[in-house]
Amino acid sequence: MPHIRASGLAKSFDRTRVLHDIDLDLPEGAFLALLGPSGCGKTTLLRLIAGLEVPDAGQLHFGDRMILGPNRFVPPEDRNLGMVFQSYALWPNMTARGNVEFALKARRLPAADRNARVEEMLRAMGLVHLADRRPHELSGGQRQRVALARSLALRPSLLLLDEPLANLDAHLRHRMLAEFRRLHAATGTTFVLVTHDQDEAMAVASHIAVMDDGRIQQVGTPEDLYRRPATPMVARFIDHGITLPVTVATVRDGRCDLTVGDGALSLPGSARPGRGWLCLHRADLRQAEGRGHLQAEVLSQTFLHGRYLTHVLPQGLEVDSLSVAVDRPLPVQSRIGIDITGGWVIDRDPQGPRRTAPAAMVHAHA
Amino acid sequence: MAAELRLLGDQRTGGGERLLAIALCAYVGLITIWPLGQLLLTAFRPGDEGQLLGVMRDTLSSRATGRAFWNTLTLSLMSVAVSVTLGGALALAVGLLRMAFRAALSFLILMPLIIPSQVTALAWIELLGTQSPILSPLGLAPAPGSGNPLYSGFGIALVMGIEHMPLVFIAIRAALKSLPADLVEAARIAAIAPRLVLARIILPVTLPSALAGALLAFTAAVGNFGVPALLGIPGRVPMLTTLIYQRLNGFGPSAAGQVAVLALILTLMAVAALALRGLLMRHLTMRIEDGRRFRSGRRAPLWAQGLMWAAVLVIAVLPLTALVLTSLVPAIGVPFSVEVASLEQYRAVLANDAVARAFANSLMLSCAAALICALVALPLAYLATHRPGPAVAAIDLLAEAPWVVPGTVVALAMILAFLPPLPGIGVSLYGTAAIILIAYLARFLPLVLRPVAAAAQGGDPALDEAARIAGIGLSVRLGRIFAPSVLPAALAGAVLIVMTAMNELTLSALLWSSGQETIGVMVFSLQYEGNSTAAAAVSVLSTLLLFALCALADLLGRRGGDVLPWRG
Ligand SMILES: Nc1ncnc2c1ncn2[C@@H]1O[C@H](COP(=O)(O)OP(=O)(O)OP(=O)(O)O)[C@@H](O)[C@H]1O
Ligand SMILES: [Mg+2]
Repeated sequence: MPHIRASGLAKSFDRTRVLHDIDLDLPEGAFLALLGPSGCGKTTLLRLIAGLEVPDAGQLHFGDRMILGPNRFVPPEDRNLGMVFQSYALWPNMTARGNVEFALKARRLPAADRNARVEEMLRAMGLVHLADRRPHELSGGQRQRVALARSLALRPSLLLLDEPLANLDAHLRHRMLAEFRRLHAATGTTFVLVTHDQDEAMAVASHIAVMDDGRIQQVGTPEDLYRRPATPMVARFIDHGITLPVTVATVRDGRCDLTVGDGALSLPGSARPGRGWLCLHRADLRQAEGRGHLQAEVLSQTFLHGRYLTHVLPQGLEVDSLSVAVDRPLPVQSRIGIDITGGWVIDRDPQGPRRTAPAAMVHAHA
Repeated sequence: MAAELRLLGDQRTGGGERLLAIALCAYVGLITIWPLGQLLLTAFRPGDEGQLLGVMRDTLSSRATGRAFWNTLTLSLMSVAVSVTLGGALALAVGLLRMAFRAALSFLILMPLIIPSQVTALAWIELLGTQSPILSPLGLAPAPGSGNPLYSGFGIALVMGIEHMPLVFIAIRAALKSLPADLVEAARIAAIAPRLVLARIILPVTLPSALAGALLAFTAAVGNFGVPALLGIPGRVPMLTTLIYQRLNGFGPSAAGQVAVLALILTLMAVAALALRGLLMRHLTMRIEDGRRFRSGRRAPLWAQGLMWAAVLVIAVLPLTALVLTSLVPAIGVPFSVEVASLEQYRAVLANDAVARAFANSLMLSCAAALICALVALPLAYLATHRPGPAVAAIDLLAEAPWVVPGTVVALAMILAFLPPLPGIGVSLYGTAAIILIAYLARFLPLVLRPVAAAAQGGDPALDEAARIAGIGLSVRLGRIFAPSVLPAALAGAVLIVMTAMNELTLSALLWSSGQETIGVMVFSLQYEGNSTAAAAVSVLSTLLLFALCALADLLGRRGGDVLPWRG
């Protein structure tokens, strides 16, 4: 698949903006997860790519081919893509085999060719013994596999999946995730998977695009998002991240000297001097031997995974409680010091988050 | 180009879909919009000396118009009173009390709706006539020589009231079915007397539905042709529908302007009632929370059950029995008795070429109408749900018009549109079966379009989208994905069309010509010629055919959902 390039895509429903200015650049063979809270526009973006919705503005290219632009709209039939719907959308009047075979028949593929492909798909999905069942005689996971087989039988260069795992139980979900990885490697097809479950996204994707409120906040590898969030929304969204208000004094070689409360420290980041956010995860906090970077009052403790998860209220900072894992029980209302061992610093614009995310450019992962 | 793009949908609408939309616009335009437009134009024509709105002024100021309007209004209102009283009482009893054979009772209550108007009228004429095979032996028949009491305004109101009673019954029954159990149980727990629960809780909740049903009954009464034709013409009680019929029959096309104005009045009355109903449904319907539905545990007392069966007997069974008995009499004027009963009339009517032709014509016309309407409804419903655009939305709405306005109006519109020779070919469709077929196509399309559109709305749009993405073309998608998903609804709708068209009289009474008789016309003209025994025989045969179709529809309805009025 040539790479997919979207620029300036925007979409409104009844004058409510649902997507703003979406830019996306996806290399050949990527596995992109579109991740974001419910209602942020993931499905809408997927449907725009598929040609099931018409955007108000913007362009879409598959390689050199303009799919969507001023006075141009390639209908879904001609986009050579596959899509797995959240409801699976299996045709109820056809058997599992019929579903896989139907589009091939409609395209007048020679019978021998067609049968070979259908058999191959059914075998690959473990559906051979279920081939003659109707959709209503299949379980959710089996339907899911029929839907996958149906879209892959056409050998699309791009496969779109809209929350394909939402209806499955945890065990099946893990198996299907492994299946997605295998299929992705085996077919070389570009995958775009919509999900609101970040573990799912992290488990399969080579790239994740985090969306919020109709905008792409950041596109990057799972590690990028975790270690180098571009916006406070991403920092908080990924793995229950924490953001602390800080003041950045100087920036040198990508490291920021900053003060948090009355503690001073130096951490990597993209911030400019001025007000900033320090983005952290729980693993970056530790009880200090001495005074530490932050002073905090113990609120409560829970014993969890072999350690005491301690909820503390940091002093001199406008934040809610933090949680830090310690090795021993502590009396309530006692004071402890907390060390910050890592993190990433970004700008804190008083006018709110910056309007556009940093260039949503993604480079092929070697 | 851009405007055309938007009119037929947006960029997603493919070329095939655009062509289909244009074809459907042309179809609905030709059989619906053009004829109804002709009617409007004719009604607003200037007078003979060119005065503005001359035709309309002349017609409106004529005494005959005033009388027909007044009769239509008052008798329709009286018939609504009958419908509401009967339908309301029966619906409350069936809905609130437990009793044996409730399904059978419901079916019998709905019978008057299923039996065609002219057959109902005929059955009542036989039941209350001087020769009544049921009342004569009991000595209750009117004295020989006195006229039939039904040949009067009172008779028209009574028979129409009974015929349209099921409309009120259905409306109230539906409201009672959606009554939440909590409402009634809360009152019980508060120790409120059952009488008060009925008066203060149940009745207010069902009142909007009862009103809506009543307005529907009013619309039906205003547009009824069969009853006024069989009772009002001999009784010299003109109604708007029969006045149109008589004027056209008497004066031919020269009366076109006048009758177009009459048709306009008729339409306004019907549409006003329907608009009021729409308003009512929007504003008065109480929002009722979902939840468990109220199911009464009270058994009906024996006297109530007896009363109900007696009512149903009088409404549904006795008239039809009188009709059957009349048809068994060997010759007109012979009183019925078991000794003289014979199938002579049936032999005679079956040997009659005109009758055989009428059955063949009706069967063919109604089946063709059902088939074509279903074939049109499929793509129209498809486009309306999957590729909505202003053009498709407009024809979807306008397709409803011929069913909303009275049938007489549709028939008149067809005459105005298709009496002049067709441009190009130079032949007129009037006097051929084609004009009847076109009228059926226009009038009955909603009967299949509504259920199919509802089924399409309820379906998963992703089924079609998945097929599009898989690169499957429009015709295959329509035939293999969409059609199977709405097939039960389409079948049920088609059978409903066959049932309705097979026995209709309103349209064909104005559009038939010799050689193109329909069953309805046959019954009407046999009775008109005074051959009431033959008319009874033909009616019985057509009713039997109808019941066979009912059974078929019921079979299909089991898969088709709630398209049919007596299910559920
Ligand atoms: N056809 C439509 N008409 C009007 N509004 C719509 C339509 N489709 C989506 N929306 C609105 O657009 C917004 C984005 O919807 P979308 O389905 O893309 O969200 P999503 O990110 O997929 O959410 P979820 O995770 O819940 O599926 C929502 O606020 C939704 O209400
Ligand atoms: Mg979604």
